[in-house]
Amino acid sequence: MSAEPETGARADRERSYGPDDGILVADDLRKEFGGLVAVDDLSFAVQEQEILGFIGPNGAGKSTTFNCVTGTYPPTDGTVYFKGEDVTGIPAHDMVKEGMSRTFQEFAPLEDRPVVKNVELALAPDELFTLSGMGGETEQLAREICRRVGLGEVMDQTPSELPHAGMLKLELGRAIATQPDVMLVDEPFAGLSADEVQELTEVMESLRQHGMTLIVVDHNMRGLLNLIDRAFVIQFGSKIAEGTPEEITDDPEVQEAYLGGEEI
Amino acid sequence: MATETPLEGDVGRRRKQAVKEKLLLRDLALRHRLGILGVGLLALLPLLAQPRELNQFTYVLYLMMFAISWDVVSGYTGQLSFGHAFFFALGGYGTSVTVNQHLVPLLDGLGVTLGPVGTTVVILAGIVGGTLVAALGGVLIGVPALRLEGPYLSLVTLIAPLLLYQSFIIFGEELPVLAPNGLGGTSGLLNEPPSFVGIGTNAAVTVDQLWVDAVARYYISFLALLIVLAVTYGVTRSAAGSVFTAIREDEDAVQSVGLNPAKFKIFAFVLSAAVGGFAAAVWMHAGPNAYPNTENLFGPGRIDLSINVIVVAVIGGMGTIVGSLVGALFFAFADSVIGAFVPELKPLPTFLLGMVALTFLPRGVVPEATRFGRRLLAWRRGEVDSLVERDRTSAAKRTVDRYREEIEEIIGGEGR
Repeated sequence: MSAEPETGARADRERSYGPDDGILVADDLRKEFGGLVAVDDLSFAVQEQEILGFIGPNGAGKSTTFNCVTGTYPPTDGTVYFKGEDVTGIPAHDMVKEGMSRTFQEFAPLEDRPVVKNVELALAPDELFTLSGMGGETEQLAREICRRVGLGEVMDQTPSELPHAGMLKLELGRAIATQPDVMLVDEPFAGLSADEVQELTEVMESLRQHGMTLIVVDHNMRGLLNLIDRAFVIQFGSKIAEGTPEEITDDPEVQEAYLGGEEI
Repeated sequence: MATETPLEGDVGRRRKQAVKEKLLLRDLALRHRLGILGVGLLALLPLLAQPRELNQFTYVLYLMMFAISWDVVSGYTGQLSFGHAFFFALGGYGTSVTVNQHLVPLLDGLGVTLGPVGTTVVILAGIVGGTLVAALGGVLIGVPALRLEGPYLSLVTLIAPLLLYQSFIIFGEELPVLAPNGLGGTSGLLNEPPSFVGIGTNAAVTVDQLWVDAVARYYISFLALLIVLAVTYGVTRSAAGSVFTAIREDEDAVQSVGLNPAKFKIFAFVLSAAVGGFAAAVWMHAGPNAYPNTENLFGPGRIDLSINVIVVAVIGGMGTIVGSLVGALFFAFADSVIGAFVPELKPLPTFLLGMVALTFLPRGVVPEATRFGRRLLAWRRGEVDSLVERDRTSAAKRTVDRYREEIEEIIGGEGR
């Protein structure tokens, strides 16, 4: 698709990316719902072990973009490369197996089992006949993951007993348990206190130290400044800025996008 | 990729080691000891019972297997099936037709005379055939289950055995290629399949005493039960079992951690169907009253057996497998003891028992007993009661809640 000649109408669009430009690459990603263009030929590349902030005002198309990337629904057009392979439109569960997992903004924990068992499900192999889970082996791993994300004290409670921050940690724990190479974190800091933001920041930083690539989606950069290496700002489904957090906050177009709304 | 996780190292080897250690049965929880004791008592039952009573009890073993079959798919994944007899009929007719209309004529045509070993092999082949036919039926129901929400799927499962019943009548004389001599209509297949052990000539091993016949039939059925228990217990206690229950809770959550819900759903149906079909197939060769007819395999009113297995599994505890064993005992008790006094009320006592269980023991007997036992042990150790057992909602309640939500969505109730 990148071989397509540049036409006048598309002259101002971003340069195309190839499969080897990063661990996760979106090239001319487009999603239309009926006549509504939610993602407008968006291209970006995420480098290995990077923490990328994916920023945009509410309704900018962030969630739609990542629903297309993670296979929740197929994009209308464009290509997604993951680890150099074309993974456009493969089902969500296969995408997780490829090594890309995500947390969800609207939590959907399994209410019938304690926190640790929620994490344990993510460790289950996608196989019908398995010895996994019978010897208490995966439960130990699940407990270890719970401790790592700061759920050590509460892992035997049911999810409904968790505070908001605990739910975020559970989402994180479940995503980690799938052993991702790239993890997409959706609005991790919404409704958290400064201390809790600090704690989660440290967890994510340590994940990166262990080799993980993280994409943090949020509608503003509050709380992200200490965490992310690079920010990518979109509005109306198109990119408006890209750069270090400092460059972004000074960018006039970004400030324009947030005028009358929240601060960046 | 360089991502480090706690799963590193030789996980497969460690898992096998852990499972082996469990199989040594050293540190068993009290409830597991009681379970093994219970199965041991079942094995010793023929020492106590008269042949006629024993035959009645042998049927209970099949009821246990049928209920386990239902529990695998409905108790675990929450896909309520109201017509599990579909699978039982496929298994029972499957083996009878395989043996009597295919294998025996074929071997006769070749001029082979079957000895005890030969007959046994033919019977085993028939059981495999019946199990496969039922498993195929599992695919047939499992595939629509991917697209249909709870109540709609239940309708399909309700209609499937009725259609099958009807097709037994339509193809009563002949079903081309598959059943050259037909499926016998409402009266069933009059040509009984050979037994493993029996009085008379139509058996692999011929015995001449009634009690030997009864005991042999009991133990063959008991062996089948052990096989069913081992397979279903193994699957539901492995990670696959927790995927099943997660499907009952939220399919999106399953998908989001890299598991394919469609695959596990179809597997649950196929496993359930195969277990039910296997049990019915063994019944035709080893059970009491082993006639391949519609009254046996669907129940007297076409749906009675389908409903009975639900009652059994609910009494014992949905989503437990072992609950089906306990439930079948209660069911048989109600059926034979209460039914003996007022036989005219026959299905009533058992259905009443199901109602009572749902109202007062909604979790089922086994989970309630486990909970009570844990509390008792904790009380003896002097622990504070509430710390021991968090009230986790039962499989039955979760399933019914989901169901209610889905029905409210369909009819546009307050749930929206």
